[in-house]
Amino acid sequence: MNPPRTDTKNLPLFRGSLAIMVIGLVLAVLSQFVRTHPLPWYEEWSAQVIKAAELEGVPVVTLEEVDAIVASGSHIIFDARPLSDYDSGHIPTAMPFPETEMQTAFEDQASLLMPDTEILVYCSGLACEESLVVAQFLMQAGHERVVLYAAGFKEWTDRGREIE
Amino acid sequence: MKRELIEKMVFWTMWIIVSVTFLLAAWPKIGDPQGFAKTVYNYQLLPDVLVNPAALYIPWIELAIAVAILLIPRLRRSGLLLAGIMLAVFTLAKGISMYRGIDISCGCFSTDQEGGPISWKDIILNLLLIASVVVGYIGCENEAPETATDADS
Repeated sequence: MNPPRTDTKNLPLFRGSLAIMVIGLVLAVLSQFVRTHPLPWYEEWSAQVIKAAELEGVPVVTLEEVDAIVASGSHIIFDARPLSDYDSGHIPTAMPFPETEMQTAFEDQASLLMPDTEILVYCSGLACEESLVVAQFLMQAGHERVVLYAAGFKEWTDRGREIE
Repeated sequence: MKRELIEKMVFWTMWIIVSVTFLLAAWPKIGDPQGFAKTVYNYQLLPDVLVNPAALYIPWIELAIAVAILLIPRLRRSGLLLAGIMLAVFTLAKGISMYRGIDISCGCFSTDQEGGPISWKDIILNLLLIASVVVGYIGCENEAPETATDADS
């Protein structure tokens, strides 16, 4: 009786794949030593917008604070995402203020905005910067009482909050 | 004989398409790892701790795959297998981003964050590339000398 035939192609296929992966890894590590500005092995990406906001002097609010703001209606809420995202759903009472059309949005909302008006701005989540850009724009336009909801619409929906 | 020649031309075309695509994808990311790390983060699929290692590793393995497919016949089949796996993962990532409505650029051939958002065009392009990988892989299976070498090793 003949011994069972083994598939001789599989081992080289696995070995070859492993070799390519190791070569890629070695090149990636070596590149770090060659670069004048190597990429840090770890960065706190989720906190980058929050850090930038702190540097720019824009206060960041938490979900619980946003709950209170929405419930009390104390702030004008601006959604800095594209209009199509706003139309798909937004935080209750929020108004569209797409970062790509800031000047037009600002002119549209001008009648609501006094220098002491409290404003909250948000966008899709921690990875987006649109809300910070809008917040800076509003502050430069003379509205100092702007706060940022950095965790944005993603946290709002992930935590089961109502949208409209 | 003519049929063999046509098959060989088809297989080589697929290998060149896949290899050049991976080369074009790797190059800008190698030149701008910070920009590519931002792209990886924007997909919101990896925890912070894996973003930079992935951004560093992906372009170099893309380059290694491109070289293996085009220049190293012994590693061609393995290169195509890895290319297929990577393309499947990328397609899934793009599909998830589209489903979640995340407005980000693909980051496929550039680290520019201002590129257009991921669309069905990107998904279809990936599926076509996966088809090229499959045809190319069949070409490797048909290559008698390589099979013999593999069997020997």
